[in-house]
Amino acid sequence: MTTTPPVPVMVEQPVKGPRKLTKAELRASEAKTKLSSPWATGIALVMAFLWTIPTLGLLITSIRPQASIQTSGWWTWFTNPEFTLENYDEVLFGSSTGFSTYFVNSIVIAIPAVVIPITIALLAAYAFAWIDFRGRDLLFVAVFALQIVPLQVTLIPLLTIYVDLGLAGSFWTVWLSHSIFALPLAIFLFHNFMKDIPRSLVEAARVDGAGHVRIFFTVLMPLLVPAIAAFTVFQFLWVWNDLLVALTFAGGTPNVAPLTVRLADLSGTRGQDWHLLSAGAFVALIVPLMVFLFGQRFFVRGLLAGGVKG
Amino acid sequence: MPRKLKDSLLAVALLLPSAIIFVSFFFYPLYRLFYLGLHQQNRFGTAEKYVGWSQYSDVLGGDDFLDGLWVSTRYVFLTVPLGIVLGILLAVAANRHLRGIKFFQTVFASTVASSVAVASVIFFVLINPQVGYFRDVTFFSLSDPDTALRGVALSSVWQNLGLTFIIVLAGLQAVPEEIYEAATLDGYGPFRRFFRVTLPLISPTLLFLVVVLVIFAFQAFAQVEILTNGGPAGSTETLVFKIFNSQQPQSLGVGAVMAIGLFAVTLVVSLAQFLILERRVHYGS
Repeated sequence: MTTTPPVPVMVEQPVKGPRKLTKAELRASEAKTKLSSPWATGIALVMAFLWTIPTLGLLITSIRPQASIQTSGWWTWFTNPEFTLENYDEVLFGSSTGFSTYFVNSIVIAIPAVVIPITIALLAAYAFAWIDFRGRDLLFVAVFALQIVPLQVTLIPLLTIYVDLGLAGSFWTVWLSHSIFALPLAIFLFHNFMKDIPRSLVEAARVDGAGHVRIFFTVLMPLLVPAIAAFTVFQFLWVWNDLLVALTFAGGTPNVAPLTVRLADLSGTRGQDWHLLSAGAFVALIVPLMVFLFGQRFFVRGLLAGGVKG
Repeated sequence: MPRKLKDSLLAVALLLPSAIIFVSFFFYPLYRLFYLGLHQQNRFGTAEKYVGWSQYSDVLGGDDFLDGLWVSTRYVFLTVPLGIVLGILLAVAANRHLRGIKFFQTVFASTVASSVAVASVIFFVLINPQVGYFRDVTFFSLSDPDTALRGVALSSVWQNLGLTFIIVLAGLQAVPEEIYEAATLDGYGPFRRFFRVTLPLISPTLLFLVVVLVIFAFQAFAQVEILTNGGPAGSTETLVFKIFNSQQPQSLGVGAVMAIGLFAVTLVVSLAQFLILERRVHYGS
């Protein structure tokens, strides 16, 4: 978006091990607790409960035997707990479902679709941030403006171009498509982070005789790690969870199709097979969930610093 | 070689990979899009006939596009206001110093990690007309053309709530503590404090969210594909769903024009939101 309003940046410090609160902080936290009404706490608890019901129901369904799923609701599990991994076994390795293959596809799609745009964007961002050349500002605004074109708009012509280039049905279609639409945001985000690095640091390295390559790797790179981590988490979740791009370019090609495509397919053709559907949904969910939990801190900060892909 | 020239050459080299990608996979497709829109394809997508701008007026004024636009617009109104209100409620509830609050914050935020596809499967199990637990609730029944869109919207609200929650919470945490204390000393109760102090202060965050969520809603596809496949009776065919389904060779031109229509609508809606909403937003001094 060209006109993203300033969004206050989340004030979340990295955890530096336990430490004692100062008196002032204690007082502040006491004041805050007093200020908040018990109503809000009650609402929070009720909402947290309602919030987890859909996911909980699915998780419990996925570990119940098929026969029980078909005869009784998942809530009866609490009075009659049963546990089986058969659903997961069938969904992952069963000949008609084969989620393990699609799982590998998802990984093969996601890693280059994250690495390619980050690498290319870092190069471009360095040029925009630290090299003087004619037309720099104009070009930068132009790249930034590309963000307003929604991905959905170019799906049809991209499809015909991939066919012309002979790329149809290969991983390249998905890698390229995700890279194209990640680039403007990535360049913008990395440029902003690079610009924030004090000029004196770069100048000092230059005086010491460091060239562009050494400046990039020894001065800038270490300071860019949070930005790169943020974008990695963001782009990974985006790519892993995408259905539209995958269905458009790899929908008819089982060798290339990711988990989301298989899952959507399964819900259409085997809507009655809850035991497969619920286990499959969790197989698709587990990797992005881990990535989110580990990268949460970077993700939130990056999201707020760069606006959201829209 | 003079330093200036060397630097310029380096800049060109660094920008080249991006430039190649943008030109061949961004600008060229956009050109192809307009070109496709001016032509009609045969059943195999091989022969093309020039039909000119009449295809644009025919498609953009036609029932198919307008129906899609109507469904997408209703979808925006079904998902965005509810999503924002719930997001604010959740964030306000979780923005406090309590034991274990970090856990709740993570739980609420975690739907960010779930895909539209997974969220749709979760709701598929809940509200599917044949087998869902809540299939008898007529308010969001997927088998009735009048209510199916509500069912689809429900899964989107749930899935987007993680994002909404994260962003509103960040906005709340940026509000200085002293302002609340001052308001309390002035005799503001919790409700007045919320509507008169908190809400105006986080309004830039909310504007940002409204724009993002409206764009998301206009681009809804996966939830429709999984939950209803556009049905019943085409009542949940959003714009993107229609574009996706015009990939058959003979309808490429029609799909191209619809895609341009979607782009125009997104652009106009985003600009309008800024012009209308920005005047009401409080950016501080």
